[in-house]
Amino acid sequence: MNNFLMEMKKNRMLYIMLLPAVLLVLLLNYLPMAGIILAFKNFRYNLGIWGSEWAGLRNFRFFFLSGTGWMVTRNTILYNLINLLTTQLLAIIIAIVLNDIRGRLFKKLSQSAIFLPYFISWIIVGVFAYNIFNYESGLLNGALKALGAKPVNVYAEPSLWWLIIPSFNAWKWVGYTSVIYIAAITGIDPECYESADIDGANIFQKTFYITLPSIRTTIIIMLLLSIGRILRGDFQMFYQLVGNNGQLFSATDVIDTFVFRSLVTGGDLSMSSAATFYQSVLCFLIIVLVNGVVRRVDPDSALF
Amino acid sequence: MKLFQPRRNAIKMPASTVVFNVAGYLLLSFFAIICLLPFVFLISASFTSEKAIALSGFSLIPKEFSTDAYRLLFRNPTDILRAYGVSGMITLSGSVVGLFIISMTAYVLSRPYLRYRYQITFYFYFTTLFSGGLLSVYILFVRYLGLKNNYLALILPLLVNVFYLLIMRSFITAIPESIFESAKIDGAGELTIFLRLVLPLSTSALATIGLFLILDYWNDWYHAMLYMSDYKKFPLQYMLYNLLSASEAIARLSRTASISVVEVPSRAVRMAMTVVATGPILLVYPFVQRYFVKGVTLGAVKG
Amino acid sequence: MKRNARLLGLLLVLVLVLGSLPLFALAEAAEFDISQPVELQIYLIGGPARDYDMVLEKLNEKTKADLNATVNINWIGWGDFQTKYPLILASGEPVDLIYASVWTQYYAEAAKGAFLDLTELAPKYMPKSYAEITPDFMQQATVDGHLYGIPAEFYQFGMMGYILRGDLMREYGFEGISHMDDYGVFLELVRDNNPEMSPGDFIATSDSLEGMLWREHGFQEITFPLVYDVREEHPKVVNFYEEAYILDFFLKMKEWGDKGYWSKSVLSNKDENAYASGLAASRIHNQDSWKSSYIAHPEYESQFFFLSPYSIKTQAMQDGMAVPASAKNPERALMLLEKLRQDREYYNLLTYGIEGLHFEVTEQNTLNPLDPEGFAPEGYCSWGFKEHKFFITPEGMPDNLDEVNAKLEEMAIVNPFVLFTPNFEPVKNERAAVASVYQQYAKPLIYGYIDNPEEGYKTLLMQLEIAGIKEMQAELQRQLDEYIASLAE
Repeated sequence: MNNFLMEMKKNRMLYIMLLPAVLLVLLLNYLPMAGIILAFKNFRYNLGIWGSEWAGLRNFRFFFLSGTGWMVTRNTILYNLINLLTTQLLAIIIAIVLNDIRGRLFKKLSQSAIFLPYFISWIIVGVFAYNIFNYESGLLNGALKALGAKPVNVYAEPSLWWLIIPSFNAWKWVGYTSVIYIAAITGIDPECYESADIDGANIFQKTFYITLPSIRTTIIIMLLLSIGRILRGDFQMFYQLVGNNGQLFSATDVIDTFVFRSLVTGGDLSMSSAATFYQSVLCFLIIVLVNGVVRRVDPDSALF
Repeated sequence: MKLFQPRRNAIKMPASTVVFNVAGYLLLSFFAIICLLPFVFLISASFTSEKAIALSGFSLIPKEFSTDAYRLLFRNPTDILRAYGVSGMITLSGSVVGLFIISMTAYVLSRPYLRYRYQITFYFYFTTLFSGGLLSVYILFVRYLGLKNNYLALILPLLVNVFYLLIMRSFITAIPESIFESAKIDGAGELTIFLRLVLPLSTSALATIGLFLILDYWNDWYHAMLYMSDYKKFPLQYMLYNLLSASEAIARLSRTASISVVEVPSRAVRMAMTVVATGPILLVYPFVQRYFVKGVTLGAVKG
Repeated sequence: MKRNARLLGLLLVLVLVLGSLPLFALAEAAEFDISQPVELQIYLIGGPARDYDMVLEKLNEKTKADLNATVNINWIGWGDFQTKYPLILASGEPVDLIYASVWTQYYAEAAKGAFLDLTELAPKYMPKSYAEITPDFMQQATVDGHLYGIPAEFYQFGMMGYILRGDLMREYGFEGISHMDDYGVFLELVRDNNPEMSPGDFIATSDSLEGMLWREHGFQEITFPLVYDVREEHPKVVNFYEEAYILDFFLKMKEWGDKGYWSKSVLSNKDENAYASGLAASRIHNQDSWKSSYIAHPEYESQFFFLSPYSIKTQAMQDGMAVPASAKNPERALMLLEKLRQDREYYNLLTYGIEGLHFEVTEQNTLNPLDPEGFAPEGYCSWGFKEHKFFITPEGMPDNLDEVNAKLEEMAIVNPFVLFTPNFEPVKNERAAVASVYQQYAKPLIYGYIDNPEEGYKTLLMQLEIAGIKEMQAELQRQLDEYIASLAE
């Protein structure tokens, strides 16, 4: 207690500076968290969240009833891991290249261009994708036929989607993510590079011995932030690219699309809360574990 | 190979740099083109007649030039202009306030001598894992805070983004601690250090997070969907989203004979809407780019 | 302390007196105490017309004079009514009047306590309209003995069918459809003669040939794939996929798919407008869609064919209005509804717009929209109070409409189970799991994606069983039996 008061006194100004954010989060995030209990209730409007009767784990059952729950959990994790690796890696490479490449105009133009996909909503990406991949008149099969190859039915071939979805994800997010790394590189002390130049280091050596170590904290934070969302699927991306195509579900169904599909008829607020709660708990366990490891190895980079 | 032959007076370029630049140009050009092409298709489609899109798909140059889609969108120009105004106002106020709170909080959380910094960071991070769900947040906003049809309902939810907060913290952590220590010796308080040192030293970080906040606010239709029912207070994205999603829903229901009289937006209109909605925000990016120049920040303070 | 107690007592008395005052006032002034001005919050689905404000202003002049109330319309967009509609009701936000329909889950919402019981209020505050509700509609709108919604007094004999391009039919010399295979012939004709068109507008979310199949066999849907035949005296709840002819159907669909009657990418296609934009030569939809495509594209000469053995009246709560439990002014809301249903001027304003500006009535007594961009007739969720007596037929309806309507009426049967509204709560998990299995295992079979339909069919049956279709079937059968027993009483 005494320690606490001393700390408050010593860093009084810092705690005051924290107040706006702490209060906002308390009001907007923690207060409504009472709604989590909806997942365990048989919700009736006129009885309210508190007054409704308890349902135990009944609202969770649909998720595991057909065995699909495990498959979509696996798919969600796998896609997030693949996307995390491809997108982050590409973003880092592009940030480094953009930083060191010659030619100001080229730099500016290409940097702007790679940001564009961010603005194209998945609905429209889905329309384009259908124009590329559809069997009869798609661009892909047009090209294959012109080359004398056999056309492929992308919309009936699940395994192809393990390639297609990460590609679209990278296409959409690399430009956006690279901005973070570009900013991190900008913050590196130029003196480091100057002394490396004097030592005769070449551009690859500078990248590996100065740039990458300097942005290590940012890289790890980005990885941790992504791992904290490892159970959440980008609903719009999957839904707009794949649609309700049952033929592809073994490779494209993630938790969010599965829950949407299950609850779209006779939707039930309690059951969707249950699914969200399941995602949250798993994310929580995984991130606490991973963060614990990071904190041991490199305390500065840990999230908390 | 003449292109890369060092001129006599130029500084000699080492082989590794040449390799780096060639590879870099190839990679960037390739990636930039696949990012640029769909956008070109999109703009072209927005200027193509619906019939031409339907019959022959998308093309780089409009097959049959038409401004019908834009005419449909701007049928009622005051609506669109007003929506631009709403979006602009929310984006501006939200991102300025948000950026200030986020950077101030990130600075505090980056202080190694703050005893409870891990616990407080966890307090923030926890909200990205668990949330009370749509209903309880809606009840809070509508019934307890009374924010129905209030612009605050669009500003508040995006104000403290924990992801940005943590990224910002990692940027501030990278600033050498010695700079702050010498300021402290000169008698500067924490708030002064934040305002006078941290903010000017983090221009590229501020530009990044500021850009993200601007984009978040500009692109947000979701909260407008929840809290806005007054047509005159719709931000641009929500107005466009409404048009965009209407066709699917109307087709799904298509209940009464007369519903077909209400126009179902075509593909060209969808594309035009994207162009209209992203137009002004595209200009923000080159502006922000100015702050991504290596070494400007630290050098300025040290010098 | 003592003083506080006295104050409390005083306050209590005050509250009691004040609380009872309006009661007295109400008793004296009967049903029309409108001394307090109110603003009615109404929720409708869709979005407003360009000139909606203008129309609303006119309406408010009337409501101010007649009811001492102003009307504020809130819109729930088409794209998000599935999220927002239940949210508004669940949150208890004060709303006085809301559009309600079976497709906004009227029965499920009512069962969750979303709406105010109007059993006593309705006869008092909207006597004429209340008296006009036909007994079967009244019964249908009633849930557990409570009247939770006021159905629009408007019905037709709903029917799904094949909508074909009449101009192409003439070109091919195609006669019409009296069996599903005839439709196959049409699809083939289109494939061979008009390769630039897709034969049908099939997409993953649309009603497919499978829907036509169970309708041809006289089934009604409970929750797919559970169906029942309402012509039976004591119907069994049937798992449609256990019917003997299903495998043959899947085999046929495989054949049709291979012949290219639809795209091999059909399950990911999202173009809902293919028929309207002239890209598809046929579609499977209801007679309303037929009429609307006839009006929008007279040059298609759209024709409508149906194979169901009978037709039934559309449900009462296909369209209606309800007062949410959170309403602040239920009395005034009902008085407004009465006006909308009994006063042609009110009705016309929200349904057709301003006369002379947005519409006119022709000499043949049909409706001529003057400015569909400003205000399209019936375009803005006025369906909740749609009235036969004020309805004006639009211009340009199909020539054989009367013929088709007469046929549908002739085929009509009374559905004795129309009031059977199953409670899915006990099997909500099974229902969700089955819905997912249907998308994953049945849809690919319906469009001939599966190379070996026999195997695919076995997988489908097995997955449905794992998802708990048997439990669901048993539970719904139990509820149906219970309902039939209650009819006998």
